[in-house]
Amino acid sequence: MGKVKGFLDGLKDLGLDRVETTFYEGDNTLTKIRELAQILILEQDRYDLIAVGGSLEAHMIKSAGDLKTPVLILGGTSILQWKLTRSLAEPSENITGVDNLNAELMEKRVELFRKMFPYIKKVLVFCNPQFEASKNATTITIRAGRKFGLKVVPVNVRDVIELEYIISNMKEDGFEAIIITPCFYTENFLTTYILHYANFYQIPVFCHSPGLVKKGCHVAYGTSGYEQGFQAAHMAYKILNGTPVKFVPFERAYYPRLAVNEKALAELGVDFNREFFTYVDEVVK
Amino acid sequence: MKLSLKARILLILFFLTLIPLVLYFYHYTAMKQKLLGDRLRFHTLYASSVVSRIELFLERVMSDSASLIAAYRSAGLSEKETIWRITGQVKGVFEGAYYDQDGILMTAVSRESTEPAFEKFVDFRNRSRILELEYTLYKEPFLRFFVPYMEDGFVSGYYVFSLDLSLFWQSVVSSKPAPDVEVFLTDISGNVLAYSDLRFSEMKKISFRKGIYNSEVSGTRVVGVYTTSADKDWTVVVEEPVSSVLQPMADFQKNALVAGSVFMMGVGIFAMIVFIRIFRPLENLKNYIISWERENISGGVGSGDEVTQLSQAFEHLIRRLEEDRKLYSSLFENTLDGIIVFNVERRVIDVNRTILDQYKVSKEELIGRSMEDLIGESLPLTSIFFSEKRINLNGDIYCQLRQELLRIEGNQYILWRIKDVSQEKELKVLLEQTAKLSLAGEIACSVAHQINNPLASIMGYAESIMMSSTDPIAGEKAEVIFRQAQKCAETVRKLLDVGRPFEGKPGYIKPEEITIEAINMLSPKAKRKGVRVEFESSLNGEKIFTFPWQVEQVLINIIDNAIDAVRPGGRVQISLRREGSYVLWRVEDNGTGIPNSELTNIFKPFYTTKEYGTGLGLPLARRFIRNLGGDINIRSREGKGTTVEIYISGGKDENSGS
Repeated sequence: MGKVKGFLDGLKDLGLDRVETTFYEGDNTLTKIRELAQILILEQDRYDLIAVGGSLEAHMIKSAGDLKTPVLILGGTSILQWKLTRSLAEPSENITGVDNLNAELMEKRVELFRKMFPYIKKVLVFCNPQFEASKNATTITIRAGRKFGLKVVPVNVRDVIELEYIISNMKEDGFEAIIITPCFYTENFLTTYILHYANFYQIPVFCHSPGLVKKGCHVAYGTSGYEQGFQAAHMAYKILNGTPVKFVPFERAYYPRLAVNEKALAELGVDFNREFFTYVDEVVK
Repeated sequence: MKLSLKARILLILFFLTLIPLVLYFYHYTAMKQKLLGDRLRFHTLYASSVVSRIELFLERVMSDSASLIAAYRSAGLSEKETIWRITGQVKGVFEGAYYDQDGILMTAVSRESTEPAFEKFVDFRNRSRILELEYTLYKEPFLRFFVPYMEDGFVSGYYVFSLDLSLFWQSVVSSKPAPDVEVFLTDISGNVLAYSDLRFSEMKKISFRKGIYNSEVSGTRVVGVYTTSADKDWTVVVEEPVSSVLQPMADFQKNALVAGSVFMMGVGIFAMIVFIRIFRPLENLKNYIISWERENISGGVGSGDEVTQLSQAFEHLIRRLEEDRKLYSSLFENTLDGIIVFNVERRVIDVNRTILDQYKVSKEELIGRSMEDLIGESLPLTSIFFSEKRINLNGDIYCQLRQELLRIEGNQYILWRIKDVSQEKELKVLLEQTAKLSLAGEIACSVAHQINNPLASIMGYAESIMMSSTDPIAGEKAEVIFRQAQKCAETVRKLLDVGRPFEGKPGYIKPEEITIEAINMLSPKAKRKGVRVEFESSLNGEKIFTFPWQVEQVLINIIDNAIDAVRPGGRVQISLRREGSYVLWRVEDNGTGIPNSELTNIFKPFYTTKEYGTGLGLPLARRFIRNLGGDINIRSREGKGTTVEIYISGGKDENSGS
C-alpha cells in the first residue's frame, strides 16, 4: 500500500487534494484482480483516471476490454514485456506510469549481491513463470549471475509447503542464498514466507524493495513503493490537466537505494563483506 | 422625411440596443489589451524565476557534489565508492565516472546499470562545467557536469556526473502558473532541452520572441516571453495560448451573450408588447377616428405622427361630442313630455326638467327612487303604453305613460315618457257635461215649442173658466189648472234659457245694483219663509263690463238656492268685494248644508235634491260665469251652512279710468 499512500501524498503535494478515489482491492489474487479489471472496464466512464499498482494489473485491465480511461501504473516493471506500450517514450495503449526498473535492476542487484556475499556461488530465485515478464526478469537474473560468477537457479513453487521444503533443503544442494525477482506470485504472496523460512534456516535473502528490509529481508536494492507512487502523482497531474496519455511518457523510478537489515544479518550468521556497507544507503538496525 | 412615432420608437430601441453593443466592444478591447499586457509582464517574471531556479539548482548540485567528493575522498573512500555515495545523496545524480587528470576514464558507477556509458576520454580543458545534455530511453533529459578533484592544490582528476533534469523539471512544470502555460528550457541557441510533455519532444529549436505570436512549438497563437540566464547557458521560454489568456474574456463574452440575449429578448418582448398593446390599437383607433371624422366631420385631421393626428382627431371628436351633448341635453330637458330614466334595477337615474317644473319636485328627490315606488309595480323590460297611469310624483298625478327600452354601449336603460292628462280629464268631464247641457237644451227647445201652444190653450181655457164659471168649485179648480200651467210655462221658459247661448249685449253694470235687483226679486219669497237676507258691498259703485242678464240670472239662482236651503227664520248673507282683477260675491247661508257626497254632483245637469227642482240652476250658473271668465266655488258643511263664491273677471270701471 506504500505506492497508494505515496500516490495520494503526491497528489496532495501538487494541490490536488480534492481528488475522489475509489479503491479496488485485489488481495494479491489473480482471479480477483481479473474480475476487478473487468468491473473497472465496465465502470471506467465514472473515472478520469485508473491508477493500478503494477504492470500485472494494467495488463489485466488492458486485456479486459476496450480501454478508454487513462491507466496510470504507480510502479510496474517489464513494461515492454507486458506489452503495455510499444515505446516507453510514447505510450501507445492509453497506459503510462512509473517503471520501477525491478527487472532491469536485477543485474545491478546481482552485482551488489556479489559485492556483499563474495563467497556465495549458488543462489535460488523463486518464480512462477506464468507470465512472460516474470520469465524475463528471471532470465536477466540468470544472465547477471553468469556475468558476475554466480549460479542462479530458478525454482517454481506451487505452495508454501513446497517452499518450505525447498528452503529447508537448499543448503544441502549448495544454494546459499535467495534472490527475490519481480515475479507476481513470489513477489506478492511468497515473499513473506520466503523471509520467514529463510531466517529460520539462516539463508540470506536479497530483495528488490527497500521496504522489505524492514520486514526481515537482509538486503534490498530498488526504489520504495511510496516513492514510486509519489512520482506517479506527477504524471497523474498532467493527465488530469488534460495532457493526452501518449504525451506523458513512462518514467523510470528515481533513486534506487540499497538497504540492509543489520540485525537480520547479524542473526543470520553468514559471512559478508563488511566493506560493502560503504555502498549501503539505509541501515535498519 | 417625417418619421412616424412607431418608426421613431423603433429607431430609439435600435440605438438603445447599440449602446450596450458599443460598450461591450469597448470593454472587450480594453479588457483584452489589459489581460494580454498583464500576462506578458507576469510571464516575464515567471520565466526569470524559473531561470533563477535552474541556476540555483545546478549550483547547489555541483556544489554539493564537490563538497561530498572532498569529504569522501578525505575519508578514504575510493573513486567508485565516492561516486556511489554521491549518487545516493545528491538528488538527481544517478551515475558518475572518474577521469584522471588527462581525461581518461578510470571508473564509472551507476545506480541503474552495471556498465554505465561514459566516454573513454574527455578533454576537460577550457570546457564549461556542464558538458552535455542527453536523454534517457524515456526521453528524460539529463546533463553531465564535471567536478575537478584537487589534491595538494593540483587537479588530480575529474568526476563526471549525470544529473537527471526530469525530476527538477517536473517540479517546474508542476508549479506552472496555469495548466495551459508551457515552459521550455533551451540552450542559448534555442535548442529545446526540456519540455512539459512529449507533445514538444520533436521540437528541436525555437526562436526567441516576446509578445503575441504564432508559436513554433505548439502551433497556436500565444503570449510568449523568454529569459536567459546570466551565464547564457539557459534560456527559459514561457508560452501561453492567447485563447487561454483570454479565457476570462470568453467567459465574459459568454455571460455578455447570455445577458445580451436576455436583454435583447426583453427589449424584443417589450417592443412586441408595445406594438401589440399600444401601437396596433392606437393605429386602429387613429384610422377609425380619422375615417369617422372624414365621414362625419368636414374638418379632417392635419399632418403629423400618429399621436398628433390622433390628438387632432380627438379634439374634433370631443368638440363634436360636446355639441351633440348640448343638443341632446337640450332636447332631453326641454321636451314637452316628462322623461324619467331608469337603470335595469328599475331605479331612477335621471329626469328631465319638464318633470321637475311640471310636478314641482327636485331631482334629488327622484334619483334613486324605484319604479314600484312611483307606480306601485315594476314593469317588465318591454315597451309598454298606458293611456292613463297614476304616478306618485309629489302626490298622485294621472299621466299617459310610454315605457321604452334603450340599449347604449351594452347597458340597458328604461325610458318613461310622461304626459300629464289631468287637464284633459277635466276637459273630458266638462265636455260630457256640456254635451249633456247641449242635449238638454235641444230637448228643452223641442219640448218647449211642442208644449207652449197646448199650455197657452190650457191657460187660456182655464182663465176663461175661472173668470166665467159661477161654480166656485169649478172656479177654484180652473185656478189650480191655470197656476200649474203657469208653472209649466215657467219651466218651459227656463228650458229655453238652457238652449239659448247668449242673452243680450254686454255692457257696464254696477254689481251692487244688479245684486240689489236680484235680492228685491226674491225678497217676497224670503219674507214668506221668514228668511233674513243681508247684503254688504265694498265696491263703492264701481262698474264692470259684463253681460248683465246672465249675472242677474246667476245671482237669482244662487240666492234662491240659499233661501231654499235655510230653515224659516234663517239668514242669507251676501257680500260683494274686489279681489285683484276679480269681483267676488260671497253668498253664505246657515242652512242645512250639502253632504260631501253630493258636492261633486251639484254642478251636474238635472241633478237636484229639491222636490220641484229641475237640476239645471247650478249647471247653468257655472256655465254663465265661466263664459264670463269667472268661476263658482261651493264650500259646505253639513248642518252648518253653505258658502258660494262667484268670481267674475272685471276690470276697473270706465269711471276709474283704468
